[in-house]
Amino acid sequence: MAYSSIVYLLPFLGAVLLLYNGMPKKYRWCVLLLASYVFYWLNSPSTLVFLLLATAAVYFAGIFLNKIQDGFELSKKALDKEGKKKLRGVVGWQKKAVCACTFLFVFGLLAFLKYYPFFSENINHFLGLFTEKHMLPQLKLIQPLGISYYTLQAAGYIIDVYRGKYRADKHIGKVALFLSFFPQIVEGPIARFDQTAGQLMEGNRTTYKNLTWGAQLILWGLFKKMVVADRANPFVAEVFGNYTENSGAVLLMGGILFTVQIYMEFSGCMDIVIGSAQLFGVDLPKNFARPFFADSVNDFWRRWHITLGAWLRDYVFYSVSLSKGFGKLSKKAKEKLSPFLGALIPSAAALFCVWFCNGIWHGAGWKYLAYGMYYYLIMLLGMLLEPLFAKTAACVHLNRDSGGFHVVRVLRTCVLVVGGMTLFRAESVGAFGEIMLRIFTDFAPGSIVDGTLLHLGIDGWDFIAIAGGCIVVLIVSMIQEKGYSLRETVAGQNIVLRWAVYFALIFAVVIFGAYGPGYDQVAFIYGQF
Amino acid sequence: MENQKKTTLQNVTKCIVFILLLAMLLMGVSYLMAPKDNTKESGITNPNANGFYSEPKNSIDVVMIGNSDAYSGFSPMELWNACGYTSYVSAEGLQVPAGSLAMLKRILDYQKPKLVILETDGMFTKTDASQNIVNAFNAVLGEPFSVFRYHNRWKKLKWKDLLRKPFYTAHCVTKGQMLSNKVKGYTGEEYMVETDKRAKIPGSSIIAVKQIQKLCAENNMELLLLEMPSESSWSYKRHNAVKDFAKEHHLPFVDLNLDRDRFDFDWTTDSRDGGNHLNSAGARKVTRFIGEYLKEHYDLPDHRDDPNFDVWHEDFKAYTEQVKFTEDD
Repeated sequence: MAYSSIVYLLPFLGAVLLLYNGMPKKYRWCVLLLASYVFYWLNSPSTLVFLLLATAAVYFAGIFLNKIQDGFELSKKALDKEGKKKLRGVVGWQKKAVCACTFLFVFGLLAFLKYYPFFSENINHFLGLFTEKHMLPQLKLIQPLGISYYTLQAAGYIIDVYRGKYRADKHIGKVALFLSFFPQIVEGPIARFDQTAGQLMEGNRTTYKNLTWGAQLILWGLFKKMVVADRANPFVAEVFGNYTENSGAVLLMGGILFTVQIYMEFSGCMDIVIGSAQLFGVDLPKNFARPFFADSVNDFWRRWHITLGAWLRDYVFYSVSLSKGFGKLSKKAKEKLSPFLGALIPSAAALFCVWFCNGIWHGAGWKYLAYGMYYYLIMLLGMLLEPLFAKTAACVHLNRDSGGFHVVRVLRTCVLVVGGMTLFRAESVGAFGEIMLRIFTDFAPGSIVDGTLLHLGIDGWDFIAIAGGCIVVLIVSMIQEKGYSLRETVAGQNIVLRWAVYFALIFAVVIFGAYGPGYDQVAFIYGQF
Repeated sequence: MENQKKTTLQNVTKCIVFILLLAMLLMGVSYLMAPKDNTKESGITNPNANGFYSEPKNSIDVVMIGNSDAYSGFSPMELWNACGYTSYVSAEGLQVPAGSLAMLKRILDYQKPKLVILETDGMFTKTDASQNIVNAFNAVLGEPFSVFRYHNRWKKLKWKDLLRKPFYTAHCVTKGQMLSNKVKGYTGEEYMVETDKRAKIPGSSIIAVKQIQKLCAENNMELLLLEMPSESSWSYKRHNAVKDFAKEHHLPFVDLNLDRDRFDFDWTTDSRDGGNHLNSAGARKVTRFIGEYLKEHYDLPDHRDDPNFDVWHEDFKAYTEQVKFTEDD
């Protein structure tokens, strides 16, 4: 049941909305929890057990952390300073042990179900160099729906409780709903417990504003997904599927269109997800902030899949860079090398961990690791060369804050992102290498205008629809980037104008959407991670 | 409190008006986007199945609806040649009963058949939930929003197509049958092995077939359930299930997978794809048998000597030519 399917949008969402509002306020969270498990069961019945296990593990671990902390608070009153310090040390180790066991379980499930086939294949391949007997059995494992998302939410919850950001919740229903809330279980956003759990339990009635604004956001998401992303899909599949037969120019077009497709699809899905949650009065954290206006790769990742970036920053980057070991390393580097390198080395090491995790989170494969390392190297080079850039700019009297230079930086970022997305979409690292080689050695620009593009899964009208959809999204994004809320502006107009806008959007989806005879429903790309 | 009630009422009214307006606009756009002809070039889906639009109004006495088994195994021109009955097969690949119902509703806008034959294989086709909802909606309302089917015609739409009245020009001499002279026989074991087990008919199919039965009753049409020979999709369990259904709903059911010697059927020569669909030779044998059955059980008019139907003689000649020149694969 994809978020863009009729089953989800009409009977499922409609029934949940009716049941939710028909229930007394204090039981409405039960409707959401039940709906979430039904949604999960309908999509992936055999893997619901893993979600339940992760929920139970995280809930009891949180309660255990509370108990350890409470015991410490009670005991410390009777102790002197030295005794408190000693007890704090013991309690610290106990809490770390609880966290370690929980992580071992939830990340263990993730690692086994998602990464075992990759590791076993590679280990067997390596061992095959020495022996003909395979050491690890090849298992066909089903990847639980949304495991990469709910595992991060679960781990974030435990770390926050461990760090004392908040106490673990005693209400198992609250923890269960936080981990399983149906709009976000498949593709995120990856929320924090203190962001959504409270709202989910409030059980506020659906207001007219929530209903209309939620529906508008869902419609906007459908526009991006069905008019642009799904229409571009046959072209992208054809170009990347037969990359050895296409010229560099066509492959470059494939990379650009895939970048457009994945943005429209993922951000469109997030609009549907956030709009769905809004129907129940729940504000989910945003996952996109017009990433193609970013003027650096760092800025891009602050605007693209925001909740994943924030999770990795808070729980990986800070955990590594602020650890005692890295503190000592930084100090030594500052003393023995230079203040610049003293600051750079721990950051670079922590950043490596972040991008390693980012890459491997996206999938079990070398290309995903390479994808993480691609961005790591770009950022590392940026950090290393920043002093040189600054000096050069000063020498040539280049104003790095000027509008013109900003445009150049934005374009440069877009080029780097298209490169990254091409690697992401290529079937392997080797295929990416071949694609890049063709772009640089066999570009054949004539293939862009000689009609070749019109024989690669889509026709000229499809290109026009994609371009039209992109222009609409670009205009809306430009207005938003200036700080205006288009929805507020439209909502402030008279009913004729307002409804004209809504009907225009509805009919754009109905007429120009890629669905029905001749189109297979395209699964959300990020739903596969 | 009073104000709140008033606001709620206003909001509910706005929602209802919005939905009604949307429905009206969708119907309007559906009219604009719908093909105004039944040729392949017009963009109509399954032009062969929709060829009944080009037949003179109320000239068809028998229609067959169903999936690919129907358009492969039933030959309206052979039925004409053998019995003089005018028939059309409005079958589509993977047509489920809800789709058959929608098709029958469209047929009834142009034709008044005396007999409807429903090929039952489609009753067991599993469709995803989204498609079930669309099918159920179309089955009940007769596809008022055909824009969802024909929306992609925006690419080829011409201004003159938008408002002109439908004018159907495609003349299908096979009357919906798909011809194939390819022979790829089935040589495996007998698949109709008697059993007491029953296959499960999906609920959506049961609802749709009941609707078809109701529609037939309302329009004084007889309904016959029929199953074409098909080794790969049919079984005795399915036979039992449809037999029970037919008995329960007082419908005749003919299963051509049983006693195939009645019509000299030979799986080694009469299939085009190893036992799934029939070829033209198989369709000829099956249709002649159906003709005999219809003669025996229904009072259908023989139009062969009726000058109003002379065009059918011409069509039969064209059909035999087509059979001759249809490639073997």
